[in-house]
Amino acid sequence: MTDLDKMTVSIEKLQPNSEYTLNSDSSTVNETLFNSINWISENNLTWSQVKAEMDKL
Amino acid sequence: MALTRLGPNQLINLASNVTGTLPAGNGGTGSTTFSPGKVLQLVTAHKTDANSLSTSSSAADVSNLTCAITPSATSSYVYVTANFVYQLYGNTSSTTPHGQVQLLNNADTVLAKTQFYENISNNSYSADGQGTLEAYYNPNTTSQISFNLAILASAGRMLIYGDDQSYTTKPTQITVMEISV
Repeated sequence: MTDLDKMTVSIEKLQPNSEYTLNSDSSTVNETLFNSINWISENNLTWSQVKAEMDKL
Repeated sequence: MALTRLGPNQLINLASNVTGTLPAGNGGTGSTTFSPGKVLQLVTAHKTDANSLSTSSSAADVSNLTCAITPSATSSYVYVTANFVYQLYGNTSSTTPHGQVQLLNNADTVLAKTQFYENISNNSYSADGQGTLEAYYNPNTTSQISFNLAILASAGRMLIYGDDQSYTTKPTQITVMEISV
């Protein structure tokens, strides 16, 4: 599972059925990438929540 | 017309011994006797960033992938082909991730689209594949037109690969040809 997979899986776990798009210019997954997500459904997540979930995977 | 039969080792001097006009052979003499389609110009573009993904059932443009052409005549046709590498991922939410890839022009007209569907045994599995979309039509303009891809995910996650600067180089490209008919 890549870091990108971990991020999208964490979002799914914390906020199921979220709809979004994301364009990535590198394999680096960080707060900057998270903040660049184009949310189509409502988002209430923060990077720290997602990162904490990622670290469990 | 006088005919001369040549022996196996006899030669003809084409400069001095041949008169008249040779008939066109099968297929003619190039563009003077038939009118084939001609490629007037070709442009290509590839996705320059790493990847684009979607978990949405609404179509979204793939980033950093636009191929533009300016037809030289309103009678010209364009032939567009898009080659792409994609990934369907269960994203822990689906064992049947599926989604679409669409080929659009700058008027957001869907010129071609295809659906991909995977049946995976675990919702954290993924499957990669590649596809091609093509379109051939007369845009009836001499203004610049452009083409791009869009993706959507009906379940799981759909991803299009670009240049990740390590494992993939130009996996997703659009090529456009102007064709004179």
